[in-house]
Amino acid sequence: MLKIDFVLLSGKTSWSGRELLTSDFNKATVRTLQVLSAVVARPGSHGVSELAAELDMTKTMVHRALATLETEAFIVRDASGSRYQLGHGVLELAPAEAGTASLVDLAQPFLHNLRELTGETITLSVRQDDSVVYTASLQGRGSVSERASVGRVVPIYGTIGGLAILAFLPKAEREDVFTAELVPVSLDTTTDPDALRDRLDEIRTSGVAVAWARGDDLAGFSCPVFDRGDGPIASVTVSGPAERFADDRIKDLIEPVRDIVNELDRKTRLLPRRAPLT
Amino acid sequence: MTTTEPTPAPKRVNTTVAQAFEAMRVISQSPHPLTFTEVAERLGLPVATAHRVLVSLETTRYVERLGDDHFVAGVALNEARDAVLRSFPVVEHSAEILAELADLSGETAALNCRLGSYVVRADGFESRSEMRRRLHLGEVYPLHLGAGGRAILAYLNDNEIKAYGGADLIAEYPTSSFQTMRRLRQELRRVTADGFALDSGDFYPAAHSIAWPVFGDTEGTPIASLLIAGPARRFEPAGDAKLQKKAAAAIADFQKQLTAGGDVPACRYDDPDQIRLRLAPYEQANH
Repeated sequence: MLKIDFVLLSGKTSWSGRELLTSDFNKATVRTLQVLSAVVARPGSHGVSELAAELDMTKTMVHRALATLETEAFIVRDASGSRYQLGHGVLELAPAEAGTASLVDLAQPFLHNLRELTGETITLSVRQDDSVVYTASLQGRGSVSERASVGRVVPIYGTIGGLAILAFLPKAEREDVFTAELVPVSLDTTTDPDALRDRLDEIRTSGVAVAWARGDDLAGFSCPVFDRGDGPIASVTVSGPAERFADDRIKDLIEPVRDIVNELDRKTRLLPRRAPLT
Repeated sequence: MTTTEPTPAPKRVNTTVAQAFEAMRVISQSPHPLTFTEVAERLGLPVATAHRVLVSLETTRYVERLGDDHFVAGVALNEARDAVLRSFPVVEHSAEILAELADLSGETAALNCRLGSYVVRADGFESRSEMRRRLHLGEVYPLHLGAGGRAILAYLNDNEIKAYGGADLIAEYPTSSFQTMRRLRQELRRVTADGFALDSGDFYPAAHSIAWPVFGDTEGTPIASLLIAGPARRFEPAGDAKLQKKAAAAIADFQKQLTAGGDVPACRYDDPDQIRLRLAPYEQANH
């Protein structure tokens, strides 16, 4: 019965850094919560025998787990009195979008580290459907630096912060962008569909969206940030005056910047799915 | 908030499991991620026991660890909550009307389902505006507190309203404008006269909302409400006759379709009026 736990636990370490053992958790607790998860997984009512067979537990174990779950109304009996369904007690827990860290909260220390490292303007862009929102920004330290425009919403294909996200979306979602005319949003917008597809391919290969100073006086690069399902949810952009972004400086910066973004990534992958983005 | 009815302490079948439930509650109701030490302190548990509790919860994904030492509600808990929200029968019918209300107002549209004396925010569309009323799916509050609840409460029969007033839920929220039954009944009469409920920052400061009842049968049993909410600074539903008219027409169509296929119950629970929830403190939810 506990084989599921060992799969979940493999490779995980406890606070002291060692591998977890069965003695690190309480079997009755784990069993009780497994019964709850089985009821959650399938809508409707559940019988004791079905649950026992499904979970490879004895009926006594399932009975005991259900009785415990009933005390908190996590599980309630249906009108028949002998079958069980998911209970309203769950609503007392996990108020959605509250009690969870937001992406912005999580990102703050990493954004600071990135500015320390680069001295440039750091922007967190969060995807909202076919747009990105500049959700947090730290201004660069140079006497000339890009103005942080928090709250600005731009089409996802319009800037590198959006491209870094767009490139990693599933193909169908990516292609949605091409259903409407591509309009120039910044001096770096690629408005030719084929050129944009090529650019997205490059970003997927390199993992970084780079904007060179094409007549504009700004330059920079963006790295995507993913959620638990490997979906890109945001990006981090390092940007500043073009003259400070020579090719070799970008090359030198990309790796250390990616290291910090990867650290952030490890945290965002732990966020509950409905965690607030802003 | 405390349970008002003097309910006997639930019979604990297994203390360790009960500790795990408490840990889950403490972590999920906390407005910020809790450290291992904070969880142990709040539960009054020795470090070794708290460790075992948290590993058990983490293993089953009911809590999740951020970094080395911060705990938040886990994916399994969110899935459980989502499953409860999906179990309200009206939810599967309301995606289109919610999109329509969000479109015609540009604001957040929400479906609130009745669960006995409470409403549960079960579904909705959040406005795309940068400044918007957050949707807060899964949020639960007593019927008299917001427009979404009062749109339901107003259409209950007199005895049901009386029973609600006697359940002490009103006294638990002293900051509400509706602190006396007299004041509440006055408001509920206005709701039935207008056909919608309004809230002007009473429930959530800085937010205005308007809500219409949804009935589960042709007899007029209220099972849910449809709500539009937005920032007080730009959203003034009380004076927006055009929005009121358009939304009411859309909701009337939705209502017709909803009950065309037979009655729709408010929830799938047996005796919802008996339900008393231990909710997180109001101040905490009121952000």
